[in-house]
Amino acid sequence: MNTKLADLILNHPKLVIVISILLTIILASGIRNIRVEEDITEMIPKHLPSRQALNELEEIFGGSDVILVTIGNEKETIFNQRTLAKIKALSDSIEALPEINRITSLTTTKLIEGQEWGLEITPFLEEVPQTQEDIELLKQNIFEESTYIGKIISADGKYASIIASVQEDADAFQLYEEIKTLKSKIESPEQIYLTGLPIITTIVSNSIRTDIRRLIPFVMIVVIIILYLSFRTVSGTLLPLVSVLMSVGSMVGLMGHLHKYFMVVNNVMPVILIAVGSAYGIHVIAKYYEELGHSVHKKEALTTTIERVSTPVMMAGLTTMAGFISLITAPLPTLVEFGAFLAFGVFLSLMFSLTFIPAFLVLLPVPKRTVQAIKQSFLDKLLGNIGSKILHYRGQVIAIFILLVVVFAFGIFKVNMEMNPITFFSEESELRQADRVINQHLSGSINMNLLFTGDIESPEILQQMDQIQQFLECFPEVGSTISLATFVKKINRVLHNDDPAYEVIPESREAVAQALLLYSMSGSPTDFEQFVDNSYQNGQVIALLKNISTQQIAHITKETERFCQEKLSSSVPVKETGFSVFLKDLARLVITSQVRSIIISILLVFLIAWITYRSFGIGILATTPLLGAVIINFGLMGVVGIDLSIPTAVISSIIIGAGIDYSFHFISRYKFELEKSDTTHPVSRSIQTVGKPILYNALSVACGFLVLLTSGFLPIRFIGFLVALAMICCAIGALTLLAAAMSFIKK
Amino acid sequence: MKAKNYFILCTLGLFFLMGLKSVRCQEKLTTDQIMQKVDTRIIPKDMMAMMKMDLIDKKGNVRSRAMKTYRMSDDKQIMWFLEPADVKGSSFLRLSHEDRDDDMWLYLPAFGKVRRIASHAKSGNFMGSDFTYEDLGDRKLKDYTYKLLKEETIGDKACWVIESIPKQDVTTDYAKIVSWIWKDDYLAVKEEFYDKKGNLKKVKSIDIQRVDKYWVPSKVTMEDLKSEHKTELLFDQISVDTGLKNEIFDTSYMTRIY
Repeated sequence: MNTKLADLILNHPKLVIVISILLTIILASGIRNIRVEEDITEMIPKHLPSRQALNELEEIFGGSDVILVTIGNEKETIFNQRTLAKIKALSDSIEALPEINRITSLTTTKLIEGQEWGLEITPFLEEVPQTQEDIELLKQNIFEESTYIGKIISADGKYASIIASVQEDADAFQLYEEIKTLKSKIESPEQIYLTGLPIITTIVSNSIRTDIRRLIPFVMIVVIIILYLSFRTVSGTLLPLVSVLMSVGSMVGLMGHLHKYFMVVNNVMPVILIAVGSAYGIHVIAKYYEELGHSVHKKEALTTTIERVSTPVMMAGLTTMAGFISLITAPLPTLVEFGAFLAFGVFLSLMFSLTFIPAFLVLLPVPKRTVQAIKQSFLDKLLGNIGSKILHYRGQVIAIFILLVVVFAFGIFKVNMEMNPITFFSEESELRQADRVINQHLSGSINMNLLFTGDIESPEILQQMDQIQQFLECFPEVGSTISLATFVKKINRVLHNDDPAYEVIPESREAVAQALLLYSMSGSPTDFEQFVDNSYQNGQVIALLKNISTQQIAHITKETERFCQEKLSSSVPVKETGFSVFLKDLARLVITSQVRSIIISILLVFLIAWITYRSFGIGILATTPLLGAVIINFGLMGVVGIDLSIPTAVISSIIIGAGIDYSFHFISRYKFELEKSDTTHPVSRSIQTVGKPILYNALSVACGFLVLLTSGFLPIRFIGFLVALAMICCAIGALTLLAAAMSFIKK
Repeated sequence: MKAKNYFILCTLGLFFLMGLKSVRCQEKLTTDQIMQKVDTRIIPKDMMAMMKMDLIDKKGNVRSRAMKTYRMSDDKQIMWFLEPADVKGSSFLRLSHEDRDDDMWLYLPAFGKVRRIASHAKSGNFMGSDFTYEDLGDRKLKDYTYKLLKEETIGDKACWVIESIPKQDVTTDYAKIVSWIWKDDYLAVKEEFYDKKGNLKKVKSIDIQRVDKYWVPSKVTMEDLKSEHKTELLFDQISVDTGLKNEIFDTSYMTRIY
């Protein structure tokens, strides 16, 4: 079959080239359709109950996206004229932005104050106080109203926050620019920190764009250098590069045709395809140059090249595809797309390497300079050494490997799950700084929303809201909670001469309605807009959580769910949603997806090995080092403190798909050497012959992945680091562990 | 008559009316003269009506309240809530003063006592509606400078379109108000309110009806363009000059159910 393929390609080279280019043009034309997905919540599957509940919530209360603008500094409190004036100016400017629905700030939140003569409801900071006395009074008033401590003012008085609710169809980019301009106008000595989903989203999508622009050229340069160092010819450098770029263009183009988006993780798909896919072209060129040494005729050399190389290259490609395909069972659309399109890209780059490259080589003259006579290098000596010693120490090698795996296996329990997109950024980034200030001084920025349906004005529902708020506030990680019940209680207290015993929900429906009527006498029509809809049929409790680990958030969320089921009356339906619930759901999905993809990819790779070598034992042997590599990878993540997140969930699939190549190389060579009769052991001979290509290949793939270290996203840097490391480990593992294990297998 | 309320700021219970006989002036009026006439229009001595207040959010959901309202001249008003049922019997009393903040009281039957409510914030909203206290009245003729922008017909009413700009050191939420004054009766039928950044913030429109010899509002709508929230006040069963007594505008009357 391979010979027929060779004849077909070599007799019609121009046709092959034209077809390849046409195919590329057709597919790549979709590139113009590709967009960067700006909404990170798009990562969350649409069928998830919490996502549906969020849609419902947004339907009722309008968009739930908020921007948090925090102003203040460590050295002094905000209670001075300059800072108060800035808070007032900033609040007014933000409120006036067309993208903003409403704001919650000291300028808008109202003091509900019982006076001897009645009741007063006024915004805290309606005018900037002019005297020290007035400033003191303001301070006193603000701290009396405990509802807002932590929310719009820090308990230490050093920071004030403006919570701006963003319109659903707002242009987040423009909004970010506008707020940055406002910020730069009045910053210092006060610091201004920006956060909130619309800000994170904008920074994420900006970083995605920067990554694409920076990483693709960078990885191309790296690949060019590797190719040139390997072959030192122009065609040897350009052909593999062009063929892999054709497959990248086609892959991205197909995504565009299908109206897919670039998100975090799949923005580095081109880089990964270049790193993985260029290896196939390298194989072909390397074999061709090797064959040129044996035969005079270009075509003859090419025929042999195709015959010999197509099976191993296809095997390598197939297993890599298997690794990526394992991701299509993932419950997260991003991961599914990542896996499916990369598998397609690998397939194309494999096909182009076996058709386009040889077709071009037929048309090109034989290069004057191919690879120089092989010098005995340090590496060769080392491999020779390993080859001769490995048999002697084979028991120890296997023991060391097992020990390593066992040690790292303990690290797995330390792996931290982290789904919050803010952890995409490094500790020094502006986002993380803002997040730290909010965590330290304010209530936090992760919201949990509990949607109640029913007669919201009834004391029963309000009491349930109150119960759940009290439950939530027992967690130290819950910064604050607020709902219509908060206001009803406060007004009830004020109506009873500010007696704390009356800070409860009144018992009659009339009393609730009249308390609210009293508030409305001075409040604005949109004051309760985010807590209850106009029909008073839907209400929500909003809780703010500090930015803690996803596991802690998941714990609080689960406990809350349990509390709702056990303690609240079943006649009142409560739905949990909000960012915190998403994080919990995502964590669950990522674990499922991770376990599934590891099992599937290992099984697929094992099947391919079993079928190829028609030996169950070899199948097991070929896949064992990979299982070890995956365990070591997760153990390392646990030990070093790399979080398991949506992006890093792809690592094991890449490792399994690409790492198996070295096992295959070695086994193929070993079987070939077994046929020969020689004085040295076939294992030693295999190491000596195939060792160098395996290490070179691993190094070049690793170099391609190391480019990811320059990404703007932390998890992507981790992918780069871990995959590069794993590639080298897999190569070394194939040359030591696999070699040692194979020596036990009799002919 | 006091130079107050240079034109009709109808809202809730403001039943602004007009001098019955329309003053068809032969001579051409200056802008200031127009505003003068708006300010001195003849209004009923007192008025009783049923008022419905609809708060309408941006999705069109309506929250309604119904009340019976009594009003004397422009500065005394008392109302009893009829709907929804759980606030029935609650009442509200407001006394305006020329030289200081209004006095306001609320009676809540579920809590027993009559409470005073503070009103010193002009930008505060009246009864949770889109009308602020400033929108309700108390704009003084001398606080603004006026400019005739154009003449325009709204519906079948020929109007002067007049811009009012507050003089310095007048406390107001608005930088500019544009009013459509119906030429026949010196009555504003539409107003646009601009914020200090120059953006159109709110729009008020007034439908009027004839009661006796006065023109009074039948429906007043105030729409907040930013929050897309609006308030509609609908007046019904209006009677004028019924000879209401002064003493009903007193807190002791609030606890009676009307």
